[in-house]
Amino acid sequence: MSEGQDLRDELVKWIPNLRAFALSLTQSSQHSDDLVQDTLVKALSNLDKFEMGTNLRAWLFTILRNSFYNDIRYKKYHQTAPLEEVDPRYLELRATQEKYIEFQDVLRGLGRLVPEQREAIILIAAEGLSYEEAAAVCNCPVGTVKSRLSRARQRLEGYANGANALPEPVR
Amino acid sequence: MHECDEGEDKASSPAKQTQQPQPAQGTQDEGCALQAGSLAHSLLDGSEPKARESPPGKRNPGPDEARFTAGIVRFYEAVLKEPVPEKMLRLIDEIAKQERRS
Repeated sequence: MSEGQDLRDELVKWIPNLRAFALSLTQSSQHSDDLVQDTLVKALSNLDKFEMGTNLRAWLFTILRNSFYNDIRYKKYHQTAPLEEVDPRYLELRATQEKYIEFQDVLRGLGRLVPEQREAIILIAAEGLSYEEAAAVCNCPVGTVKSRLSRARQRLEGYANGANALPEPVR
Repeated sequence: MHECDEGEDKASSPAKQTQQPQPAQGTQDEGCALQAGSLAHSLLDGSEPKARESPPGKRNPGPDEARFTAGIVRFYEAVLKEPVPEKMLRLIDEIAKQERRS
């Protein structure tokens, strides 16, 4: 099997992670899938630039992240509507039969963070990247990632302890 | 520690459009398994992701915070379980075919 085919297979393996990262960033089902498709096209068009032996996941996440911020620049994906106005059918589809309310609240909480804080939490807490890997994806120093995570934590703390505290999980 | 906050509380700063992604060093097969417990812990106390113990002086997360963080991880896990949309797989096939033709 060719090296290119191997890379394509590996790339397919990371699509769920790209979708989860994109959804966390954009908070929109439609925009997140557009963003992932855009990422796939860019990645496949630049496979020859990927350095074998390095971290494909981080490379893909970097492409996705750069696309996201470029799109924000052009207001393409800029979320102007509050999360409550996002069509709940999308969220319901995401959560299927389980934990719909909890997921809605998670998204609402994430929506209170600026994108840089959101990505720090997702990359480290959910995706499990090290600080160094997250810093490489975000193209910033490790200290900045830590700082963003800390600020995100503070905001979520206020959210979790405030008037909008989480509802009991749906069982 | 570097503290270049770049205005975290304001709108996002756009990435450089022409910049080529720089791959991080590491293995490709780190897997997508989520470690909810340790990750939630790391998120809430600011420790290294795989560290189990909080540094001295760090407070413990309250039940609401812990639940919220665990909720983020569960949300992420749920999205990871979704099947890859057919349109994405088709897109990859199409690009591969185009490459073979050219």
